[in-house]
Amino acid sequence: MEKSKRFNVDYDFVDQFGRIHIDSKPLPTPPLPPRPQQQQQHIVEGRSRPDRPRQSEPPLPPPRISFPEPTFRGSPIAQHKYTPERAHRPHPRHSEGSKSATTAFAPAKPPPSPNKNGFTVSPSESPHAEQCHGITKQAKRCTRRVKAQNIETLPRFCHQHSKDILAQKGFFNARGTWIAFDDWIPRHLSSFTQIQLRLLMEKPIASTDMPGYIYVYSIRDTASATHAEYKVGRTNNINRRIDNWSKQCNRELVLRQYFPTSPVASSSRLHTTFAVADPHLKCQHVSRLERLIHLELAEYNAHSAEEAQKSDNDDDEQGLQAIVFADSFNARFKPLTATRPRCLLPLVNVPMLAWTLESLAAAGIRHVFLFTCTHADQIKDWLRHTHFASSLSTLSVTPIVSTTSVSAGDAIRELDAKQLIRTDFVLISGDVVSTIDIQRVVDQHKERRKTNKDAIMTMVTKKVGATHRLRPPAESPVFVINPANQQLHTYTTIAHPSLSRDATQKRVAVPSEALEAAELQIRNDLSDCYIDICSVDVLLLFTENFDYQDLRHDFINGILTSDLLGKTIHVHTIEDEEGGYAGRVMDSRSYDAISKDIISRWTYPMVPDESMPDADRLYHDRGHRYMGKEGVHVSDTASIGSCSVIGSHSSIDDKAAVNRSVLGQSVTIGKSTKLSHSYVWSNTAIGDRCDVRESIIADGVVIEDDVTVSSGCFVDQNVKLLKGTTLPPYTRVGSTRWNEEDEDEESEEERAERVRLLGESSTAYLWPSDKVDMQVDDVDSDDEEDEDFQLSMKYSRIGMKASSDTFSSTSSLSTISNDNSDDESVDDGQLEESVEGLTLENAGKVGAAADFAQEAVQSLERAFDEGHTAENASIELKTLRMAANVHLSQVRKVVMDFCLSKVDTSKQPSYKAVEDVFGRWSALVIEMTKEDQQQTVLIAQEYCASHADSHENIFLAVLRVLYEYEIASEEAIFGWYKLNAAREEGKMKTLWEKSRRFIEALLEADSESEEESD
Amino acid sequence: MALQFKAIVLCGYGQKLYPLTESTPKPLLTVANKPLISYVVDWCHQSGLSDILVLSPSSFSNQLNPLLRSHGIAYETVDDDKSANWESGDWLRHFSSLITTDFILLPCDIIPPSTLPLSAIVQHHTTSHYNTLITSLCYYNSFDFGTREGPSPCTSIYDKTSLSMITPPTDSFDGMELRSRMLWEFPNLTLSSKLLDAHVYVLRRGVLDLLLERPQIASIREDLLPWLSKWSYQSGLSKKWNHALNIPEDPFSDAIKYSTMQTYASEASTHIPPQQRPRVQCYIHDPKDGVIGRANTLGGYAELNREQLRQHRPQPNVKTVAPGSLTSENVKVGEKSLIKMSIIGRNVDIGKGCKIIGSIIADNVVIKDGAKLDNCIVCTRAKIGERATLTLCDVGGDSDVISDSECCLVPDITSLTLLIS
Repeated sequence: MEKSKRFNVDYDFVDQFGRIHIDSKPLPTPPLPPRPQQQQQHIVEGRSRPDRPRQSEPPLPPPRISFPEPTFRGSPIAQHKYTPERAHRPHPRHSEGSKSATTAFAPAKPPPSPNKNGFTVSPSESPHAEQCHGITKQAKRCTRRVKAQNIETLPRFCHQHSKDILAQKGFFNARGTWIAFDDWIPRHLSSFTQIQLRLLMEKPIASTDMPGYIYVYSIRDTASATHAEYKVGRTNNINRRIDNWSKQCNRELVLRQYFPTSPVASSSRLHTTFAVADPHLKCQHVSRLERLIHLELAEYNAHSAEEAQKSDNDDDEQGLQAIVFADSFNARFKPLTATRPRCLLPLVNVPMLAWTLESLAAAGIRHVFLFTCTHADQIKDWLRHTHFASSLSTLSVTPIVSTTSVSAGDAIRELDAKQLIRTDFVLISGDVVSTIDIQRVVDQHKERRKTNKDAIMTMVTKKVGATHRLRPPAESPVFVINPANQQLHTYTTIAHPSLSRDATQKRVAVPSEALEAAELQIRNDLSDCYIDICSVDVLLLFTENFDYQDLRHDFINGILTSDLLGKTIHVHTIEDEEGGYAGRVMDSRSYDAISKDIISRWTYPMVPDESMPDADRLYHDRGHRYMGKEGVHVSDTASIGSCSVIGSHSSIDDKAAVNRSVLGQSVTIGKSTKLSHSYVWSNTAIGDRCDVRESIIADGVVIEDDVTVSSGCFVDQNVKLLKGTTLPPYTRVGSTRWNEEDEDEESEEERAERVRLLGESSTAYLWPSDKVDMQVDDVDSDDEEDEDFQLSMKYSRIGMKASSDTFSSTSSLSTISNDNSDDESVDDGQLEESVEGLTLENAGKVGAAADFAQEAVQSLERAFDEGHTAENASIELKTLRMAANVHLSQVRKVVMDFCLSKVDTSKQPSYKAVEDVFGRWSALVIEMTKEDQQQTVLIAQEYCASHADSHENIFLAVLRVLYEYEIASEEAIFGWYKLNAAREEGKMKTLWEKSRRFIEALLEADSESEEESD
Repeated sequence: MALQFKAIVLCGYGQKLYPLTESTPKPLLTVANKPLISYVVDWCHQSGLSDILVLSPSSFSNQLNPLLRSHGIAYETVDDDKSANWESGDWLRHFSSLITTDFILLPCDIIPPSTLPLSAIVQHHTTSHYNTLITSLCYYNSFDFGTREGPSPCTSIYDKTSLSMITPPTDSFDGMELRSRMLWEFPNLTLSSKLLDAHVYVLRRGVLDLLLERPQIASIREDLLPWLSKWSYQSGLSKKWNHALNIPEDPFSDAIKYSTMQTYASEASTHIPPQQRPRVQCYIHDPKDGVIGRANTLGGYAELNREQLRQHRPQPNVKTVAPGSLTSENVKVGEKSLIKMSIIGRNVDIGKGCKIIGSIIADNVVIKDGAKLDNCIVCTRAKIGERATLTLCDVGGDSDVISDSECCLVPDITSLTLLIS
C-alpha cells in the first residue's frame, strides 16, 4: 500500500462515530490498524495502574484483521494481515512491511487534557492562531503563535517544540518496557499527527477505560461513486451493538470489520456471521484504542479539511436564500393596486412576481421568503396555483405575512425578528425581471467576505447608458466606485437637466476618504437592478437603526456616511460583454420600458413565448409580434404593428390599429380603434373608433365607442367608460372612490369634475393623480424634498418623456446662463473660480450664498408684486437665510440693494420716490438690518455709488428716509460718516461729501433738541 | 515622417530646484552628465521634428545660447524683469507671431522613455477626434522620492473610453463636488489621484488666438486646460468662444445632416452634441512602457539621475574607479576613494579616502580628502572640504562646504550657508 492513498475523514460527534469519507479513486487503505492499540494496552496498563495485577493477555486466537472485499467494487479495501505472535508484544513496525494502517478518531469535544508536561490545554482563543503549548527552559509557556487547524482543540506546538517532541525516541511504559515510537507511528504522517499520537501514547490510561471491541461500518453514498463513509466505533458488547445498528439505522450499513475477531468469523464474507463474536475476546482499553485510531485517521481528514469546509459552503449555496418583497410600499400604480397586490399585475400578460420567481429559479436560488403585506391572501392563493407549488419546482417559496410593515425597512426588521435568515441572502423586489447569473455575484460576495468582514452588501447594477429607458430620468442613480475593490463610496440620484432648471445645480460630492483611492469611477450609466446580495449583518443594521426606511436612500447612504459602523457596500457592475438583463418595475414608466425590453427579447431566455410555464401560450412572429395560440381573431384590414402582444381569444376588428401594445387574453378591439404604446389586460372590450395612447387598461374594463384615452391614464378593473368620453392625460379612473373611508360624501366639486369627464351615468371615479402618489410615498419626506419628489413622480408615469426639444432648449439655455456667470467671474480675473467641476467644499458655500441671493431676490420680487405684508416677507427671508445658512450681512445687502433698485429714480421729488419704497417696507428693512445700522448706510452708499448715473442724486433722500423711518439711528449715521470706507476715492467720496449737508442738519437738530430738553 | 508641428520648449527658473539652479540655469542642469534640454531636443529630433523654438529669460542666454546654436535651434529670450512673473500662456502670447502652425509645447525638464516617441502623442492628437483642441500627456509617477520634495498630488477626471480630459490634474482637495451636467455628458468618468501632468501639450494654432483674446489666461496648465475642458460639457462656452478658434467645419457634419439615419436633425441645430464639441484629450502613458519623469522638483531631479544610471549602467566586468557609477571625462579620483552608484561630472577632482555613495556630482566640483557624501546632489564648482560628511544634502553651485562639517538632511546648502562642524 502506498502512502499516497488517503482517506477523507469527517466526524459525526453525535453518535460518537467517526464517519470516514473515502476517496476511492486511489485504492483505499484499511482504516484499522491493529498494532498500536495492542501496544498501547501494555504501555498504559503498566503505567496507570502499576499496582493492578497484570491482565491476562487475550489468551485466545490472536486477532486477525482483514477487510472483506467491498461488494460495490471489485477491489479489496484492506489487505492487512495480522499474525498471531505479533499480537502479544510490541512489534517493530518496519518488520511489518505495511504502512497502510490508519485511524480516525471522533472524540466528542475532548475536554482540556493535560499534555506531557502536565499543562492544561485551554481552547484556542482565536480561530487562526493559538499559543504554542510547549514549555520553555525557563519553565514558562512558550509565547510563539501557531497556526491553528480547524480540527478541534488539540494542543499545538511551535516549530521549536515540535522538534523537541519528535526528537524523543521512545519512552518506558508503566511496566518498564521501552517503547520506541518509530515502531508504532508511521513516519509518513505529518509531524502534527505524530506529536498527537506520541502524547496520547505516553498518557496514563483512565481507570474507566474498559475492554471492548472496535467495529467499522461502511456506508456507501448512492449518489457518488467516489465517496464512502466509514464509522469507527467502540462497544463493550459487539453483538448487541451490531444488532442495534442493523435495526435502528435506516441507512445502508455494511459491517466491514470488528476487532478483535475470531479467525473463523473473519474468514467469512457473509456479514451476518460477524454477529457471532466471541464474548471473551476483548481488546483492552478500548477507549484509548479508539482515540488512537481516530487520531491517526484525522491526519487524512486534515488533508481534506479544506474540502470539508468547501462542502459546507456547497451546502450553503445549495440553500441560497432570497427575500422577495411582494410589496413596493408606494402607491404609484393606484388605483390598479386598490384591490390586488402590485406584484400580481400582469407584465406582458404574466404576473410580475412570476417573472421574479422565474428569474430566481433560473439563477439557482433554492429558497425564497416572500414578504407580503397587503393582499397577502391573493398572493398565497396565486402561489398555490403556480408551478412553484408543485414538488417538481426547484424553488420553494415560503410566504411571510406582515400587516404592520409600511416600508422596506420595517419589513427587514420584522424578518430579523423572525430569525429566519442565517446566511448570506439575496434581497430582491417582487417586480424584478432578471437574467443575471446571481450565483456568480454571490460567489464574489463570499470571496470578498473572506478578506473583508465588513463588506456587508453587494449591489447588482447593469451598464445601460445615461439616458436608457430603464433609468428613472428624475432620479437617476450615480455611483462612485473604487474599481480596485468595487467599493461604493457615494450613492446619490440626479435628475436629467431637461427636467428642471434646478436639477442642473445639483452636484455629486466625492468624500475625501474616497479620494485616497488611486482611481475612482463616477458612473451615471448604470441601472440599479434592485438585486442585493446581503450578509446577515444587514438585517441587524436595520434593527439597530430603526429609522432606516428605504433601502437606497436611508440604508445605503446611512452606511456610507457613517464613520462608526465601518461597513462597506460593494457594487457589482454587469458590463456590456457580460450579458444578462435586470430591470425593476418601479413605476408605470419602467413598466412600459421593461415590457418593451421583454418583447424585444432583451431578457432572453425569459421571453413571452418561452419559459413562463403558467402563461398564455404565444407564437413569436416576425417583428416581435406575439400571437396567442388559441382563438385569436384579427381582421384582414386590421394592422398589427411590430412589438405587440395579442393574447389568446382576443379579437381585433376591421381597420383597427394596434401599435407597440400588449393585449391580454380575451380582449376585443372595435372597428377603427387605434391603440398605441398601451397595455390592455384580460377580458377587456374596447369599442369602435377609440383612441388609446400610452395607458394601462386593467381587466374587465368596458370602453364604449368613440372614447379617447390620452397618455398616461390608468383605468381600473371593471370600469366602464361611456360613449364619447375623453380622458385628459394622466387621468386615473378607479372603480371605487379614492379615500373612501376618509370622507363620507363626495364633494360637489369632485362630483362635477367626475360628471364632466366620465358622464352622468358613469359608476367610475376619478382619482387625483398627485394626491394618490403622495399618499404612501412621502412617509417622512420634508417640505424641501417635495419638489424633487413631485418631479420624480411626474416623470415616473407612463407616457411622460423628456422630449428631445425640451432637452435641447432648456439645457442650452441653462448652460448659457451658467456660463455667462462663469465668464463674468473669469473676466473679473478670478480664474480660480472658473474651475467649475472641481470646487472646494467652501466653494460650495459660496454657491449657497449666491443661491440665497437669487432666491431672496425672487422672494422679495414676489412680495412686491403680490403685495405681501412686510412682516410676511421678512419671515420668508428669515427662513431662506436659515436654509442657506448665510451671514446676516448678506441678507442686509440683498434687502438694501433690492429696495434701492426698486426706487423709481425718475420720479420727483426723489424723497417721495424713496419713501414710496422704504416707507412701505420699513418693517422688513428694519427687521433685516437692525443689527448693524452703520453698515446699512454704507451698503446704501455703495449701491448708490455703483449705480451712480441713476442713484447718485437720490442718496441724500435715501439718507433722510433711513433716518426718518428709524432704519438707521443718528448714531449709526454719524458712525458711518466717520468710517474710512465711506470716504474712499471716487464716487463714494462724492456721495460722502454730498451727505455733509445732511449730517450738519442732523447735528443742528440734535443740538436743538438738546437745548429743548434742557 | 516629418511632422508639421512646431516644438516650443519653455525654460523657466525652476524655483523648486533651488539651490541647484542658483548658478546653473534649469535647462543646463545635467542628468547623467547630459543637459536637461538635450533630452527634449533629442526627443523632438527622434520624431523628425526639426522646427524647434526655445524660449527663456535672457539671463540664461549666456550659457544656453552656445549649446543651442551648435544644434542650430532657434532661441528667443525676454528680459528677466519683464518675464519675471510670466506663465506659459504669457510666453506664448508674446511670441505668437512666430507660431504659425499647430504646435507642441514642451517643458525643458522632462525625460521621456525611449519607448514613447513624441510622434505617438502627436498622432493621438490628430487621429483621436476631429474637435480635439489640446492633447496633454499624463503619466503615473514611478519614483519614490524619499525625503526630497516630489510633485504635489493631483486629482484629475477623464473619460476612459474617449480619453477626454474633463478636469485636468489639479492640486488635490479634501473633497470634491461634480456637476451633474458633467455626468450626463460623460456618464462613466474616472477620477484618478495618481495621474500627473507632463506639461507636454499638442495644441491647435487656434488655441493661440483664443489666448490672445483672453489675456487673463496666464498658465496653460492651471488656467487654459481647466477652462477648455469645460467646453466639452458646457455647450454655451464653446458656442461663445468657438469663433476664436477658427475650426474648419467638420466635413462629415454636413453629410450627417442629410443622413436618413439622423433622427435628431432638428436638435442638432440648437444643441451641439457632446461629440461635436471641442475637447481636451489626454494621452495616458502606461508606466509599464518605460518611465517618464520631470526634473522640476529636487526629488524628481535626483530620481531621474538614478533612473538614467540604471539604464546606462556600465558593464560590471569593466574595471573602473567607480563601480556602478557613471563618470565623465577628466575625473580625478584619489587613492582609496570609494565611489558607488553615483554620477560624476566633468573635471571633478576627488581626493583620497573619499566615500561617495548614491550621489550626483556636477562638473568642476572639488571634493577634498576624506569627504563622505551619501545621497547628495552637488552642483557645479562647489567645494567639499576635507572630511566633510554630508548625508541627503543638496549643495548649490559655487558653495564651499568647510572641512570637518557634518550635515544631514539639509535641503539647500548654498554659498551663503555657513557650516560649522
